[in-house]
Amino acid sequence: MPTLALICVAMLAIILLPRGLPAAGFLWDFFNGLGFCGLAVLIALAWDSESPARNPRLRLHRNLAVVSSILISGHVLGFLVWDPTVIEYLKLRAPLYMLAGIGGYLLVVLATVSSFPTPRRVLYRGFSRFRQWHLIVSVAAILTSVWHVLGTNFVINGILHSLLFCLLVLSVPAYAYGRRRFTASLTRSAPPLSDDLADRQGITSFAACLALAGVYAGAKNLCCFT
Amino acid sequence: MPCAGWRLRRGQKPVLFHIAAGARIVAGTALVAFVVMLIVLREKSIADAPMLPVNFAHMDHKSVSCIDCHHNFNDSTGLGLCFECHKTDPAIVALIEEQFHDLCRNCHLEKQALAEDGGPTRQCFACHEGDELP
Ligand code: HEC
Ligand code: HEC
Ligand code: HEC
Ligand code: HEC
Repeated sequence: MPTLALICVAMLAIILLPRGLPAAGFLWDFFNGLGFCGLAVLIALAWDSESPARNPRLRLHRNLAVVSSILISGHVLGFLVWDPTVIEYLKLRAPLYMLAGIGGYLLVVLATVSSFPTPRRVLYRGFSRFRQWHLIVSVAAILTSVWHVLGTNFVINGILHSLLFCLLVLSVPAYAYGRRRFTASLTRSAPPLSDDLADRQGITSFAACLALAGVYAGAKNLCCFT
Repeated sequence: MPCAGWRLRRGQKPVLFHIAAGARIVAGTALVAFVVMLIVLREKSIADAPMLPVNFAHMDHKSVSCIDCHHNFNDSTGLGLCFECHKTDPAIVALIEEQFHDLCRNCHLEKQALAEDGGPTRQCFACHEGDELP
């Protein structure tokens, strides 16, 4: 939880940097905020990744994945309903960074759904197979999302700004991977979370992300960040 | 995605191994063919896309010099209307979205950053709702 909060705040700070682009209307920025929160949760998930035998917080990992899927669904459906011209971006002729966004969304949903026990057993033969593909799918989801954010050029603007964004979004998963690979487990020593607590934390994160998207849109539109 | 049954299990017969390898080659080729098909379809659908309606009024742009938009008035690209070239010339038709969005939205963004009146920067319906204005 503190990790997620930190990542969200860092991301908010980076996208609101003075180099950010002007506001585009409350709803527009709110839907974008939902997308950014979805990505922030993906990063937090990467931080928290650990093989389940060692991770006493597995249920939280799963809950956060569901939260991320819902946030990104809100990002997609919100735009589609509010401004139906966006349907153009679901077609094959859409710019590649939009197709990357759709691909990233599908990958997130795939990574989430395929880790519930029943679909997992249908899709993967053996647990190590699942873990291998889960890693590949998750990393691909993060990379396509970054492509989508930078490609649209809607919020992040300029090379320095893009680099800062990449630094945040890519270094956390890279660090988490290295930590797991080369050093002792971080979460092994963490106190286990009861299912109840994990569920409550999941719901809290979701509410916090909704609020944060609202704060982001409000700040951008009211305080004239340019 | 991993597909059950392609891996050689311990004690499997060599014949089965060949079948498994063959299946992989077929699946790989099918995947490549599918991706190539997608790319070709994409190119074609960009060229064939019907034009989106655009809500553009010269009245709102009296402060802008004609040449800023009608680049063909003074470069040597030729005569005619924007879309007679940009929607039909196969060399540039795929760029229409990028070029026009950059032209229209970047100017509106610059105006907004200077806190001046500018047109829409993001909301698609503000430009694409398509009521024909003079
Ligand atoms: C902000 C960009 C912009 C500026 C500035 C601009 N135009 Fe245009 N003009 C367009 C676009 C876009 C079209 C195509 C409009 C359409 O198809 O609805 C167009 C179309 C036209 C047409 C064809 C009209 C028709 O309905 O067939 C004429 C003539 C024209 N412009 C003249 C001018 C002149 C003269 C000026 C300067 C006073 C000028 N334009 C300034 C963008 C611009
Ligand atoms: C006679 C054909 C023709 C007409 C008419 C025409 N264009 Fe173009 N336009 C071109 C070609 C060809 C290019 C590519 C030139 C290049 O890449 O240097 C181009 C490039 C552009 C670009 C990209 C410029 C850049 O620097 O990247 C924009 C924006 C553009 N046109 C807008 C318009 C608008 C707006 C109109 C009408 C108001 C218009 N064009 C009318 C042929 C035309
Ligand atoms: C060089 C600057 C510039 C370019 C290029 C430009 N615009 Fe604008 N546009 C403006 C300004 C300035 C206004 C605000 C006019 C006003 O409100 O008085 C405006 C306003 C508008 C509006 C809103 C009018 C309203 O009712 O509020 C629309 C729609 C629009 N532009 C569409 C376009 C389209 C489509 C293009 C590209 C073909 C384009 N503009 C290119 C400067 C530009
Ligand atoms: C400032 C005005 C403006 C805004 C805002 C705008 N567009 Fe456009 N768009 C244009 C113009 C002008 C063209 C070129 C004319 C055309 O193709 O319809 C264009 C072209 C396109 C094309 C290519 C159409 C073709 O003929 O191949 C697509 C797709 C598109 N826009 C989608 C969108 C979407 C989705 C949004 C909202 C995220 C959006 N546009 C916002 C002005 C705008």
